[in-house]
Amino acid sequence: MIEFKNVSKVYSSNGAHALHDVSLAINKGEFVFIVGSSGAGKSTFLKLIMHEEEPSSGTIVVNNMHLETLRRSRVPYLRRTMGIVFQDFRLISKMTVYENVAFAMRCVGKKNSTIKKRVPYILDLVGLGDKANDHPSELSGGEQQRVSLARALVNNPAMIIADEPTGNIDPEMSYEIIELLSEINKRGTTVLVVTHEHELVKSFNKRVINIEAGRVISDSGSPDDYIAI
Amino acid sequence: MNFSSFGYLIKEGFKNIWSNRMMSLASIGVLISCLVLTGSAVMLTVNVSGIVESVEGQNVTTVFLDENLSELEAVYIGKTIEKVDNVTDATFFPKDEAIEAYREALGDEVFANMTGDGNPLPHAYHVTMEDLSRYDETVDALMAVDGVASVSSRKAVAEKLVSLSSLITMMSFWIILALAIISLFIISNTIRMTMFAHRFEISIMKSVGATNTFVRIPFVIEGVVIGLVSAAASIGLLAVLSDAVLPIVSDILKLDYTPFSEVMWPIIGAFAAAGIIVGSLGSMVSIRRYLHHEGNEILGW
Repeated sequence: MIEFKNVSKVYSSNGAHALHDVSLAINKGEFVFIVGSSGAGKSTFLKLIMHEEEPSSGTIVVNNMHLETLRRSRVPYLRRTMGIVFQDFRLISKMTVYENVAFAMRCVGKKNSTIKKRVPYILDLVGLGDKANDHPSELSGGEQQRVSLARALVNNPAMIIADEPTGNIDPEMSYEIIELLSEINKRGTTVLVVTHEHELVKSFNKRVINIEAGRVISDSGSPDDYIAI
Repeated sequence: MNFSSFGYLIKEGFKNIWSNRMMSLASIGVLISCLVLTGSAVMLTVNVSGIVESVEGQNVTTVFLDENLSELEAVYIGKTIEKVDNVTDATFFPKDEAIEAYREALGDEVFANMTGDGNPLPHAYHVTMEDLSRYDETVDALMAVDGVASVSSRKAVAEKLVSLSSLITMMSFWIILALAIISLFIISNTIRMTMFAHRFEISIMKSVGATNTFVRIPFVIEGVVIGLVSAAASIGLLAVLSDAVLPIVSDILKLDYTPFSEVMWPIIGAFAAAGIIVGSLGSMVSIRRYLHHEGNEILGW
């Protein structure tokens, strides 16, 4: 699913070493927390997976696509295999909840008839079936993040990447969001959650990859291992 | 791309125009000015060329024959003059008619004894040339005809007409080129503003896997619609202006003119093509930046 081999990333603009010789593999169906302090290289790690950045050295394979040889015109098709959840939700304020989710389907050329069937189903899945006609400003932070999650899920991606999904919501809602992601993972979708909320990570028995100063300093199968390091 | 996607993208293009209506209106206004000026330059060129052609048709050069030639000999030489390349017409002007014309203009007393053998004028031909730019070579050919004594020189008039026509054609070309560049700049700036307003949507589109073509289409439609609306309005305005101005100028100069209706279809075609080309090129230029950026770069974060 995701394979990094000796990946390093140096930003040419400021010479910053964001990642040093990172090698890891994340298999299909896994739920993985990526943790680390601010500036540790977590965002760069995600950008490399999404092919928003290219590595300075090393090789990356995502969903069977070798990113170093991936043509520019194929990048959208790589992104269709993943759903992205942002910390700041990134919802379009002038659109309703339904339209925000449908937008993701329109962008990949889905037919109106498919959209009409799929969007209500996904909104029910994230518990927002009754909020379809509301605008994002009428929703709580937790609900907005659920809309963002619905948009990420609606094109049935093989993998969900959540970048600090609980950063802008209260602890109770945060737990619910991770719970929801866990439910989605149980249905077979690979889930990658970037967070710095240690308490939240400890609450779920999942694999934890700890990145600090651009290096993977631990890669554990359980939260206990993570705490030990 | 399926039908519902295409319908959605067209709708988005029109929504872009509406949401950015003040800038769209400003662009349409500037484009109309550019196109009307371009159209006026075209109409001027067409009409000056028409006038040059008409004057060329009226331009009669007098070819004087040797003195002492009989009328029969003069008619015989006329056959040779008619065959000279670039000569479209050669009308015989006998010396008796010439002296008669002088007598009518200047009075009987002066020309009283200048009839018959006493007539000092030679026989002549009034020659019309097809192409005034070949005036010199045609005069040389006429002078080479046996029995031709001289040719009255209208070279200056001929040269002025041809150079005026060339000047107007050249000026029109540069005006049209400059206005095309201005139009391209205006449209691309309008689209750039729309794209700036939609950068958030563009970043989401790219993150969910929209192709560059999909992202581009609404903006290209916006550019093309602005171009076509401007073209349609310009054609109407140009028709009204031409119909109002040309008859007045024609009346003052006592010259025929080419009305807008005669050159309407090529102008409509050219304006529509210009609208589509400038609109699509303008939007392509603006969108390049966004298509090459990723994620937060699009948002400027």
